[in-house]
Amino acid sequence: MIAALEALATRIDGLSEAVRREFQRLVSDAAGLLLDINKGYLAAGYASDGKPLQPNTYSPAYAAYKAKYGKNKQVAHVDLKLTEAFQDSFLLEPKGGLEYEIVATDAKYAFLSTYGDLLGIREADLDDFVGSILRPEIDAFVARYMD
Amino acid sequence: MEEEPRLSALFKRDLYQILEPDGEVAAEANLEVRMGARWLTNLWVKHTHQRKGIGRQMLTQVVADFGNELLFLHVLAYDGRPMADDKLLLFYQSFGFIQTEAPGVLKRLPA
Repeated sequence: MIAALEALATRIDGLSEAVRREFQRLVSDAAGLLLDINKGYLAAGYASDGKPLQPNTYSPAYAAYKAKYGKNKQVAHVDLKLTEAFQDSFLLEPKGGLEYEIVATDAKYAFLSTYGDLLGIREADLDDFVGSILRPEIDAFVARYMD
Repeated sequence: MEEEPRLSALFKRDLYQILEPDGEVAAEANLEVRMGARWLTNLWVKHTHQRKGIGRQMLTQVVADFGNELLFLHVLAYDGRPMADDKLLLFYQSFGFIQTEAPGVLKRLPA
């Protein structure tokens, strides 16, 4: 399905600048949901490959601190969320066409990757996203400008 | 009573060391830049010199040199249990380091 969308994006390159900008805005708005999916993994204690973060438990000292001072007070598993500064730093970086990369700008990412591969979503979830969110938006766009 | 060996300090831009008279390292700390932020790494004190204020001396110098920058560090006791050593945490907190959303990672805001 993504290959078909990329072929479509190539056709869109031939359209006027204003229409191309609208298409890119449509894609980036929808792609913003990928960040929510990614953060949802972490909230549940999973890395980008769906495997549990390792280690997946807090030390007693940190759990006590988080339970008292954290915005999110759950301590049953590691979710990398205390002030939310780390997850708020997630961004979608356009790589051209329909390609985007999730990046984290918070300096703590330099350490946090020891818990697992934190950025990105599973292929199955990406397919769901494309099929149920992005594709209908693009179909509507095609009907509007290209049919 | 056995006389304590005289120690000397060697502080460079990114390396802090306390040396024994024969040049052996008694304590050390590194500063690394990761993703644009400065991290204090590998702070350790040789077992025979622990509890003598050497670590505090080094960290005091680090804060004097870089206290106007955002600093991060990862608390990891020698037994490998992050935050297990409450005393270690208190030690860093006494220099103004506070918790972050990353378990075991502390930060110190610029002065």
